[in-house]
Amino acid sequence: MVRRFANRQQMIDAVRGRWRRWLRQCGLSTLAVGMLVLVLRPLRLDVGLLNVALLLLLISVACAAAWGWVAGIYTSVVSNLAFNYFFVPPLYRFTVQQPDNALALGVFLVVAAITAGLLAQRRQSAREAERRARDTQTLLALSRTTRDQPIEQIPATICAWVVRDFPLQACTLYELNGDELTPVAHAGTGATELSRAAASVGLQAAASASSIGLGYRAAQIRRRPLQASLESGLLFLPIGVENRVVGVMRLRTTGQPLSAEHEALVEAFGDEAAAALHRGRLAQSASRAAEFEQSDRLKSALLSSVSHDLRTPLTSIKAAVANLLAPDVTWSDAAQHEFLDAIDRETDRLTRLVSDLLDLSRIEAGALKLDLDWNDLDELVRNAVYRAEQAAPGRQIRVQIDGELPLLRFDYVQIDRVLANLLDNALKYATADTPIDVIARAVPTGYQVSVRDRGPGIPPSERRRVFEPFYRAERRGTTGGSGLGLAICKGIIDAHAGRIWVEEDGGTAVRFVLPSETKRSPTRPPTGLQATGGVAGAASAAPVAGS
Amino acid sequence: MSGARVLVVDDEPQVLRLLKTALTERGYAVSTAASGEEALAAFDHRAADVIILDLMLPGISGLDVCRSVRERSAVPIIVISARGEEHDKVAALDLGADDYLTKPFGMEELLARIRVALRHSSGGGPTADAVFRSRDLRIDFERRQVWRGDEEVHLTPTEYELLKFLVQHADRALTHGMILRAVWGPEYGGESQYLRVYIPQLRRKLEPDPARPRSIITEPGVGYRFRSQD
Repeated sequence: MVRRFANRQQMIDAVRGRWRRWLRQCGLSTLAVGMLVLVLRPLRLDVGLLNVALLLLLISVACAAAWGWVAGIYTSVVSNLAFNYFFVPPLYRFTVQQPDNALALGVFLVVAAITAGLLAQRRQSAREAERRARDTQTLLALSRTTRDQPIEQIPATICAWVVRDFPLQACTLYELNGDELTPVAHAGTGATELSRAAASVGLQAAASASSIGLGYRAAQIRRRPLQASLESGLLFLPIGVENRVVGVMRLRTTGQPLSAEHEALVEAFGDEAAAALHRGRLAQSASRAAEFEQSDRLKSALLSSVSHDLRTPLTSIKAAVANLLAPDVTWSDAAQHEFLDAIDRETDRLTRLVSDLLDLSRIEAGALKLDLDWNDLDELVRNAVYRAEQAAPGRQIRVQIDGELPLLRFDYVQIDRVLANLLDNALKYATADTPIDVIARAVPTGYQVSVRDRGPGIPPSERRRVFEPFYRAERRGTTGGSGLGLAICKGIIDAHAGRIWVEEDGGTAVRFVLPSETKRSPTRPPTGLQATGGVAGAASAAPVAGS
Repeated sequence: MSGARVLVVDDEPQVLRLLKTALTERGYAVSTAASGEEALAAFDHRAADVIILDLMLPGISGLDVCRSVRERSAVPIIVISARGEEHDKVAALDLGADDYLTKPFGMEELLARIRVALRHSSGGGPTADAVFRSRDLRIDFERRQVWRGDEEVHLTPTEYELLKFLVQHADRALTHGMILRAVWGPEYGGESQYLRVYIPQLRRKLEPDPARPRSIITEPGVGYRFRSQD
């Protein structure tokens, strides 16, 4: 294993540590050999030279096994010298030059080296296996965690894990969109913003990975830290699926480079993140396809309904006009009036249908622009009811406003439209002798307005569907509406982040809730002008052109 | 007000033809223009007493015509717009248009607006009289007193200024911005919530049934209108 060091001092420290360890091991093995010599020396003749040699060899092998080859070789040299000096005649002299002594030394060395090598290898592979098991555990845990998470949270989890499990300060995940890197998730210190230089390095990494293939995410891509001193310690790891780069992982190291094992594991994390990004993209395009399909369905519904609903009033108008223009008949005043009345009615119907269609297509296309302002819901409700009363004289509309409604932020015209539609429906579907209730009150989520009629009601299974365009066709027969009213209401309420639904509550109640905005409340008006002085000028000073 | 000259600007020949027939029949002298350029040329050539202006025009837009006419004349302008174009309506009113109608409109509605516009232009602008009367409401501008029937109504200074501005421009659509700038000052043009507070207060003091206002009418998405008669 080649180790890399961030700076000189660390290297010196590491080397010193190693030497210290070797010195201790050598000291201990010398001590062991010395003690054996002390014990065996008096018994030399009884034990026999061969056995002494084997005992010393045993020490060498033991040292090699316990401490590796450095200690093993050292011990075999020391034991051999001790054997030579204390046991082999002539005693107390080194007689290395004799061939049998040299052979013995050689045997000692070889046995020690082989033993140490074998054991070191075993130890190494045991460590390796342990690390692999740990890595597998980590990856397994990661994939278990991400499996239970919604797709959009996975990148954040991965970043958090990377920072937690590796000696890194921060991890940021960027999605590659064309030639832009959009931050998706971040964990650890620092910001997600990329400096221009960093972005270009990140993009470069992604580009080279794209061109040479992710399988060859070569060391130079991953390990090339930025040259700029401020940004040193940043690593960019291109990530992708099926050999397509989908993003870049930015790692901020603590100054120390990642070990090879860590790098491999981080890469695996990156793959997991890439898979999540990829799946997210797939899900997005799937939902877009569903949207298209839905809008397609809407369009065909629109077409079939429009062809019928538009033609009907046109047919009546055309017939009435053709009659009036007929050269061969002289119509009585009453008959003429009847024709004109029909034209008037049908024109109104056509007008309503056309504006509803336009509004709905605007809503469906997401082109409805709200003109949000602080408005008085109380006033809106009373106004809408007043207008409904004018349009349907004799009908009883009861208004109940619970407590004081504060100013709310909404589009007056659009919400007015919603309420007018609901009142219109209620008047249409309920019989003339039943009252209609309009109730406005505060609810925990905002302010609720209900319009309740005592008409035939809507079966529970269909309460959701009434908000679909052209639902009317299947409901209560033709009542002259466009069948788009509630769909438009829903579009408008949705645009206000509110909710609209149907409920049975002593009648059929359509309710909607406008969320109360707590972020900002309107400033109160200034208390007013002084009673005298500037007052007279205030109004006349304001030029109103054309008056 | 027969004989008054009406300039109708619309790019739809059918609409022009219909309006011309209908208005001529009622005694107005009608000239027509099918584009913004034509409208300005026609106006220069022969002044009108009231202009009916469709905002959706090819070439020079209705708003530009409005601005351009207003630069040289105080002639009443009634703009016509399609529903859902509240912004254009408000812009036109802020540029000095006097009133608006939303397509499609009834003939009676248009005639009523023309009558109001002509009445105002002949009245010579705001503050014509020292005393304003409408229904049971009476305002004495010199004494700053407001009466409902025989009963004096006490208004705060702001309420009084607001009411004064509304009645001085009675029967005209006033945008939020116009009212705010006039009553509170030029820098308050965007604070429409002030009106949400003061208009209901005025209604409570002046309207017999504040929930069903007859005089101080809300113009949805635009502003308010003081209606002097039903």
